Amino acid sequence: MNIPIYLSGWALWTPGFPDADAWLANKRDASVEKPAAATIDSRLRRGTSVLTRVANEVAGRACISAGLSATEGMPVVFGSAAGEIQIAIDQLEMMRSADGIVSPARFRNSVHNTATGIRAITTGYRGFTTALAAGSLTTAMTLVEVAGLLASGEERVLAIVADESLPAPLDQFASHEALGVAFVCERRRSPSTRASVTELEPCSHHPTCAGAGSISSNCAMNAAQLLRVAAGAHAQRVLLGRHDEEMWCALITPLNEAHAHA
Amino acid sequence: MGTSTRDVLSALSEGRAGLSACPLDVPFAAVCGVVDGILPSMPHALARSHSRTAQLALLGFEQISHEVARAVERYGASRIGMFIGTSTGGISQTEAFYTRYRDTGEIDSVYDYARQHEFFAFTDVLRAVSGIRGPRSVVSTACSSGAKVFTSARRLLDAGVIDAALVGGVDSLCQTTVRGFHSLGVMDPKPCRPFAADRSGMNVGEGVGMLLLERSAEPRAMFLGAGETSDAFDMASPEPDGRGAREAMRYALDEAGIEVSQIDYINAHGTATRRNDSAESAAIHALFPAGVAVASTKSYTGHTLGAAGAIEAVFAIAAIEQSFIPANLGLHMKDPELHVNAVAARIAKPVRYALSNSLAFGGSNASLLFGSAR
Repeated sequence: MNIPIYLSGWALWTPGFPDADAWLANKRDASVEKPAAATIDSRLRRGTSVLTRVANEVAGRACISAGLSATEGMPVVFGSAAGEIQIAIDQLEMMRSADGIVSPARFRNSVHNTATGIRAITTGYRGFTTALAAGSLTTAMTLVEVAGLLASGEERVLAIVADESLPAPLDQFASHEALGVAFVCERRRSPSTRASVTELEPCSHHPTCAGAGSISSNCAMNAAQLLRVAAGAHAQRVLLGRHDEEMWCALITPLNEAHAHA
Repeated sequence: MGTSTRDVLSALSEGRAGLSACPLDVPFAAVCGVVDGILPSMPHALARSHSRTAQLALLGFEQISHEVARAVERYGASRIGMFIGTSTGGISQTEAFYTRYRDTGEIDSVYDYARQHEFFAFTDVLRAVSGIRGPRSVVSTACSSGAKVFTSARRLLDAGVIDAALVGGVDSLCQTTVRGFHSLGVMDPKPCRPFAADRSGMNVGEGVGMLLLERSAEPRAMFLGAGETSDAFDMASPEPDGRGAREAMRYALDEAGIEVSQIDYINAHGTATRRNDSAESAAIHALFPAGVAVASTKSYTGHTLGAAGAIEAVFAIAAIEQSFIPANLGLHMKDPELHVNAVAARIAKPVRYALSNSLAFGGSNASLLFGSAR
């Protein structure tokens, strides 16, 4: 796919790490257990899931990282393989109660696009948002959607990839911590560009790709690996997908190399 | 309404709804849109991917499998994308799994979370039977999912990344949505009556719609424009003045270069809830003050949620191809406070351009504009 994506800011949140820098440096802080999601007012935040809070936390932080306001309005592409899975299981438990009725407050926040709906309300943004899922290809397809938007003329798009932990009993099938990663993606290279994403395309396993064999079951882990390369010193291909399934790849070039090859 | 495109479109043209008593075990009276018939079996190699959603997806694919096969041959498998909307994926499988788990404490060895529950799972089945190898994703923006897939595909078509795309929407009936909408107090225990004075809510439905978009072809219809907006207002209620819906329709018209006066028919979101129909009517009246024929085909299908946008796109195209505007079923007395021309009886007339609206939780709005290929 010959549509470059220029990254001007990013953020990451997972339990134990207050921000992307701490995660990159592996500086664990056990006191970090829940995302603050400070951009969401308390009325809206009530009844939202860890997923929605993680997504909004990294959305705000990525904007700040790009030199923007935490509540900057722009098109949003939200990728999540499992979506609001904790609320889904909560509702199944509610159905077992005497009246068998689910909570309307929980149902309102049960849709896959809850995080983008909350982000739109928080920022007052009235334009394009979407939410998608693509299993282990969720990071790749989030970037494909972003590339399509940039190619159609959007100047800037916020990409968010996140999944929360699978609740019991689904944790029998995959176990991982909550993880969210966001990127401010731009159509043109500018002085604020920190990395580029190019050559986003299907690939077979390639020994020079980062990530083969080390991908956890959280769909956002691919996005985290992409962030690690973008924040590093050298261009590298990153695998976007599971090494035992379909795979996509992208070439990530950090800022200094992007300029060197300009 | 049927298990083939021909049967469903015949029912639409003849004013026959597919609504019946809800087949799920729920502790209240409910009417649902039910796909009543034998659904395709999973291919043997994909047996672990079994879900009703995957079966409905297969049913939808079967309706256009020849066209997809021709596209694969013409363009190559990797040049065809797949973008399908769903709001609940395989949750009905997890409902059964969870009940068994809570009743017995046992993990059902047949249940496969990744292959049955996950939103994306049924596309593995479509990938296997279609041969499509281009980019694929599931769009899940609640009730606008099946409409927003059109623009996901079109952006990649316009960018030259793909030459064709299978787009659609699919959702199956499940406890989660039937009980969830009941909890909001927006379910009518009788067949829904969009835009009627006595309307009292929606019916949840299930179904599938699939279409093949191509950059160059001998088309049956043209996808001419789309508008996508966010209400930025409330998670579950539209703005009362319908601003987000109005802006979505306006953007679709602008993109297509079509004047308001050229639109012959609007397939409304028209859920038959008090709030939706009021807000959408306000949006339509503001943009079409001279009036335009409006019908909600949810009076036939119920609200098929993530499938609705695609199913209603097919209905809008059928109106264009077959020159008719379907009736709003159950519209014995239009709500006098709604200033829209909601049609009570089928109208036979040429339809050159039609809009199809999808409005969703999270304030996600999409309006698609289709035109005649002639």
